[in-house]
Amino acid sequence: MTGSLDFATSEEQQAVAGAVARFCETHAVERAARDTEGDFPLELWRALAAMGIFAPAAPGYEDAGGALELQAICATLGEYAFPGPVAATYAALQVLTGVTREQVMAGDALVSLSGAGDTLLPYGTVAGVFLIAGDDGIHHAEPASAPAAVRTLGGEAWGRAALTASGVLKNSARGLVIGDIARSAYLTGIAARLVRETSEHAATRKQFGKTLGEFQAVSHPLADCAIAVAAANTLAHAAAAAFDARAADDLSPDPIAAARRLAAGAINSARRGALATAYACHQVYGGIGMTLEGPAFHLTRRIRQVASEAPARSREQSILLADAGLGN
Amino acid sequence: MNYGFNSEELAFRDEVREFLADYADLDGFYCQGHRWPEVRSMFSAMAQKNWLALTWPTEFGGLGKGPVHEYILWNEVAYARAARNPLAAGIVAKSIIRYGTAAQRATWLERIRTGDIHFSLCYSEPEAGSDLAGLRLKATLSDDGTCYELNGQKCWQSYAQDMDFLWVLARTGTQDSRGRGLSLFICDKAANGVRVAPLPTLDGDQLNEVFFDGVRVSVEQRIGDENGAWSIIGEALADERHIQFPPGRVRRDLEDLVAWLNDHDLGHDPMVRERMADLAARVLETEMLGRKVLATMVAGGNATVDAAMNKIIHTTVCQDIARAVLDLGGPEALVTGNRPELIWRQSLTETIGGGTSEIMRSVVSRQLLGLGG
Repeated sequence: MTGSLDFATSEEQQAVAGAVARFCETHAVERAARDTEGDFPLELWRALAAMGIFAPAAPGYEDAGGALELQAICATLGEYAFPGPVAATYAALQVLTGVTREQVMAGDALVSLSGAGDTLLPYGTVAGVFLIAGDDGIHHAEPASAPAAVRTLGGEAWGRAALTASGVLKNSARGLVIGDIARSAYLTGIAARLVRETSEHAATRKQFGKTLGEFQAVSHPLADCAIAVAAANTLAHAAAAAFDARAADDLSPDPIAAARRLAAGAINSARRGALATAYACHQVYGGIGMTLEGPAFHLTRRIRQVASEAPARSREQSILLADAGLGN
Repeated sequence: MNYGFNSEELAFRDEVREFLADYADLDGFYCQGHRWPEVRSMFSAMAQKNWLALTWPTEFGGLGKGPVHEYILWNEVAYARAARNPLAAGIVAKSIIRYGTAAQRATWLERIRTGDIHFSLCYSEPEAGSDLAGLRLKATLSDDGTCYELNGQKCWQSYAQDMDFLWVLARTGTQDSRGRGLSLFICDKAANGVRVAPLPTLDGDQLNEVFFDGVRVSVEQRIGDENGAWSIIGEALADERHIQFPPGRVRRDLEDLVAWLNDHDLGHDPMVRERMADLAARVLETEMLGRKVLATMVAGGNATVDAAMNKIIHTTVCQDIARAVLDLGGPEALVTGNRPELIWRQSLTETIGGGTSEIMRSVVSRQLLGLGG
């Protein structure tokens, strides 16, 4: 780091976030996010990919921007609860090569990233690339049989099958860090939307002759949500900046050490903050939030689902504990 | 976007660390009341480097540095557990620079810059804690217009027992004038009618009550306009947001907790590890939020909401680290004189002092979310 301290969102970040938001506004993403029965919206996914949004931070695509642009994109996709393996795709693009990488980049092949030993495979019935996030890195894998469809809390069709893994893929460490940044950003985006919309509800709905937001029992939990989201977002931002700055440290044995540490903090923070936000906002919405067509459930179930995605919490915990001096 | 410091700033950090190496055992951050002579001596040594006036404009004897250097200095001091940042060189001096007359600047700034005099803040009162605008201590202008007479009581003053002067917020307007009727005064603690009474606190230190019984202060010791204090103290608070809750304190707390767990062979317990990972992430949160507050100030922005958020994260993780030692550290952590039980006691005050958590949440809910409460 040689520049001056700066946490501002850059023009490049604003531009890509704006483009993604416009796409989401014009492509019925809300309907897809609320769907609980249908097939995965592959055409929507391809159309999103056609914007080139998966290129930032990918090796060989330096002109497309870095992790900071990726963070801005993922936060915006989170705002719209965009369905699909967003973080897994960014992680995969760090480790895949050749035709497979181009298929993923174009949205023609969906990525399923699962944990070691898992047989429940995210988007397993429609995925074209299977990866495993293990303790030692990311592995390519093949299902032993066609995954059987399984419906999940997030309204997504996952699959069940055993996987056979191959060796650790090159650039795995980068892939895992980018995956953490992407997932953190997605979770903070969706949680930020929940806080904003729930606050708007609290500012207008009246009970006992006052708006809900005039009661500290309502406004203070929402303030706590906003604080948690801001903390996670700041960490994700710092992690992305550290990742992008790695070129300055490429002579170091571990040029992404700072990004790894901050990204582990970011995903821990984002998961914790987004889940707390989901529960607090449901409480503020009361009965209105209990309906399927209501304002919250399609967002909160997505938070819950993404928070449980691979890699497992044990990975980030190992990084955080080692950094704190509590090794194995 | 850049979350780090540049090479010149890092060199200054290294210089501060080198300076602080001589004060590794000072322990004034938690125990200033017991270590004041040594802390004062360290402040004097800092003054030799002109660090007490680090950010003052050069025309007032300062080094003219920005808030980043100030943050680095006091964050390192907090990490070293050496002291809390002195109010004289911060709130008091910056207010005098901004609102004082030429004579007042000549009278006070040099003595503050050299570490010759130190101040205690006299804002809160028994009936005016969070609701500061309701304070009652009365300052009455004499008939000849040359001095004020102070009558009333202040409460919960930090370090007043050791300081030389008092920075007194007093009512010069009517009681219902709220913040519009307040003025700021410098009062010699040795003045006739000033009495400081200790309020022993649960961290083994003390706060104080300060009684003013017909205390006369000259008009020249009023800083700023009569009834003009509210904006002065608001701006002074804004000046200090980046150094009020330095994350170095919680980083050191976490390191101490880890050392305790390792020393007692508790670091392998899955329950301990689960909790410690979350605490480690939360320390990172306050480190980065602290830098975001700083970045906002450097950019000339309003850091009120960011600072309120950071205060909540900083103080709750500080308390949760302390509570984790007692929860996870076994019965040895209870032993009086061991650091864990001291930090457990001390940290209880963190969500109260400097603006309670409830006030901070109200700042966020009103200014960011557009809600009441």
